Amino acid sequence: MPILRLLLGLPLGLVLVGAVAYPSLILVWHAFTRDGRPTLANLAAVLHDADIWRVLWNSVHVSVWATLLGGAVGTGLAFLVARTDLPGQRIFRTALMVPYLIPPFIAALAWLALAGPVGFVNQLWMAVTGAEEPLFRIYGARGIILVLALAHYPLAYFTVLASLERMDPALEEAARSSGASPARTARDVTLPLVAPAIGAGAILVFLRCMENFGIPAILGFPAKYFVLTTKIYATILDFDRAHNLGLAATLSLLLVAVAGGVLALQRRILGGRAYGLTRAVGQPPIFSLGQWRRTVGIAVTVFLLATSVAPLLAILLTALTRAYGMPFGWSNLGLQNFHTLFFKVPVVWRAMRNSLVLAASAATFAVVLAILIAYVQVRTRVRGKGFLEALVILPFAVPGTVVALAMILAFLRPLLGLSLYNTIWIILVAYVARFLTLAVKPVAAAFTQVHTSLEEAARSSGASLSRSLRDITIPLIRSALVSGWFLAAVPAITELTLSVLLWSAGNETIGVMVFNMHEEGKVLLSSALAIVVMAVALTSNLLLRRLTSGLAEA
Amino acid sequence: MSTGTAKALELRGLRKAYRLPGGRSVPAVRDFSLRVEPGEFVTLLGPSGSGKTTVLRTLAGLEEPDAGEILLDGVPLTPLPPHQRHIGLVFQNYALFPHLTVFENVAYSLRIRRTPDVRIRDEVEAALKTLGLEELASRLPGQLSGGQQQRVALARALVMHPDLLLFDEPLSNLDAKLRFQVRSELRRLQKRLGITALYVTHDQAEAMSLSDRIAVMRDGRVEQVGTPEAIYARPATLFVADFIGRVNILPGRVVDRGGSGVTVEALDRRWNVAADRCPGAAGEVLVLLRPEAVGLTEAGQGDLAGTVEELEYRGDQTEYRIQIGGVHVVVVESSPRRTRRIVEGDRVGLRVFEDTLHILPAQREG
Repeated sequence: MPILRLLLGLPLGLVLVGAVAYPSLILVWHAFTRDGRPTLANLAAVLHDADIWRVLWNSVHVSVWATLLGGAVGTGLAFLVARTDLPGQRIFRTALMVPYLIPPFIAALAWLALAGPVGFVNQLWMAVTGAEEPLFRIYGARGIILVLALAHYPLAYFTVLASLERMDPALEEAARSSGASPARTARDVTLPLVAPAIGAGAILVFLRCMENFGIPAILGFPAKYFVLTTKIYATILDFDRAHNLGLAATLSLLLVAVAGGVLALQRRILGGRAYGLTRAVGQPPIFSLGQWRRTVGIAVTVFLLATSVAPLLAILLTALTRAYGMPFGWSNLGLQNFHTLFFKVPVVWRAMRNSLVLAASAATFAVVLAILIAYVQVRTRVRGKGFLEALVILPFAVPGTVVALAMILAFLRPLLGLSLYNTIWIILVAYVARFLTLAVKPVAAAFTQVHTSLEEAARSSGASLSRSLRDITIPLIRSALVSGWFLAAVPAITELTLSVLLWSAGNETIGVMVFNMHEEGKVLLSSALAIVVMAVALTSNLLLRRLTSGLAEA
Repeated sequence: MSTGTAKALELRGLRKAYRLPGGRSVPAVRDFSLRVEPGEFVTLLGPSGSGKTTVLRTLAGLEEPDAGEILLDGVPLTPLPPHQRHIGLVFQNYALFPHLTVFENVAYSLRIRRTPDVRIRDEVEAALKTLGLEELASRLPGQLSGGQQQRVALARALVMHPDLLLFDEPLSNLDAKLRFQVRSELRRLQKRLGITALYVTHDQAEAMSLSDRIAVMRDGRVEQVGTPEAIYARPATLFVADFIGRVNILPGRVVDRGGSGVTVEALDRRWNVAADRCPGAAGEVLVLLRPEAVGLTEAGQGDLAGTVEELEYRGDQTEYRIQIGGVHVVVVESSPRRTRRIVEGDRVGLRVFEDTLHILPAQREG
């Protein structure tokens, strides 16, 4: 028994300490030391820098506006889909998944292709009106807000939709038979009951906007418009600046503090207000849109065409353009860029292989760890379980940029004789830490489903603990292991935020390739590769979806 | 609390079908007609899927009927949306607004009608007092027990002085003891307030104890309407006989027909059945014998002789399964005060209370 405990506990402890606890402590250490001596110099430097205050303001500014915009759009769409006779419901339900499945930095590139300085909209505008100035300036705060909101509104939509669908329809019916009109019912009953979900959705959008790197990087750098994540990135790469890593660490803590503060505020406000609305039986009352039905249906269609289809179409057309800057026409279209990509740029294949291998290995490690973690969480009563859970969630809860910096600081110098920096291993460690919690969730849920008595029956039949796990528990939770694997692997394939700081020559990921090509101004190639990434993201998500829904049915 | 004059409800030829995703439509209510007198308490009783809840929801305006009329004191309700119908509805799961206090839950319909605050206070307090809820006015629904929530739901429905009170299986989420208690309270309250009420349940005991009349439903139609006594003693169909209480169904044959009734042969013996208990019976018939309409006596006495095959002791009652010449009959007796205990295998005599026999035509139930 003690040996087994040790066998179980050792890899778990090693990974959580090595990949989470140690990097976290190192990050804090670097923020408050210079040359190994404790000091508040970094903090002072950050707090006295007007530039930093502006960056902080920028972060809050774009995140708040994107949250208001995305929250309103998501909430409105959820109401339309769940509570009205909007035509084409089923198509909308599926279509609203799409922006959720596209990696945000790809969305930013797509918007550049559509509404950038030489994007289709502005080209058309200038051609038609003869204007010298573009219609829309996508670089800077406004473009960032727009793309952040459109990339993240599905989070608000899903949260509010789930709440509306879980609400007991009898509550709204009770209001109606008490004499309340449909509008009054929506105001007095529906809205107050989904208010916590609206708040939770908005907070989710805000946190994702705050931590996003790809969108403000692609749309902010050309305008020299920085937010916290991009500023941390720039500070890390600013090798000439003294103490740049310490300053970046301090900025990271600032970012974590803002996000944590918002989360704490949400707990405070919404703490006691989550209603148990889980007894939905039957159909909720449907508010008739009446004469507006068609108009609203067309409006939603136009919105989806303009915000989902148009940018994707724009980047696809860009990817198919033979020569950039030439007038648009059929003769200027072809698969040339894809040909170049796959046959003339060997790095592309390497990057794709790296991404797939990294995602697969990270997911495999994550699932193995998830079994151990779930076992400890569900089956044992060891002290410090809460601490364990916190360690598992931490790397996913804090912004990816912060995780990447912590990894750099932890593994910059060889640790215990192992040198991870500048190798693919540092990306792997970062991925395992970051996506571990995604694998733990389904596995822990499955463990709670398998009753202890089954393991006890195996034990009393003479099986050892490891034998009973192998013979009884693991076969029963196999489907959860598979979905845990995919849940961890899918976001890793198209990952950018971590790898953009951790890559080295030969260890590029596909996300880094797209980003670097874009930064180098290779518009056509980066667009073509973005299309490839998008295809990979959509396929892997569809696969995941099919898999998890198939498992749910089984 | 006082109420206005009670109103009469009339349902004529109500029809409602649900369309399934595949385009198929499933009839839930077919040609349903019923009249409820002012102040009367009528129960729709039927198994699940018999359409009773659909009828109720149609009345409340929560479902739109495909055809038929709903008249309240002669005024058609169908064109009105739910909030203009002035009908109180008590839900199975109470449906209390979780974000409002007990007081505000009850006050809700008055607030909608822009009732002055002073009157709201008086009305709500009166309603809460009627149901013994004064102490709980400032609580949230989540802090109440099931029985208390049920009473708040009732207060919320009553406070608007509805023209009609609808109940959708309101007691089914309560435990057995509480259900019994709330049941009698409910009946007293409805009688006192004199509101016309329609109650939906699948629990026959509930229907029997609460109702002035019961409408037994099956497959979207009314199978029989009548007082609890009439439904129990003189079921119109085999379905009603079987659904309400237990019954022995014995094959029989009408052998003679007189002015006051018929003579029927069953269990190798002739029985006289009164005219109101044998609607249209002729030839092959089914004789309905309630288990409690038989008494056990010593072997050799009574109308019939049989052998006890099985018995089940239940404390207040004992149930016997008795074989009489190849036919099995279930007999339920209040646990006997006789000295000699009957055991399995005993020969016994059976005394049949001939007045309670009921006869139905032997045709197959469609």
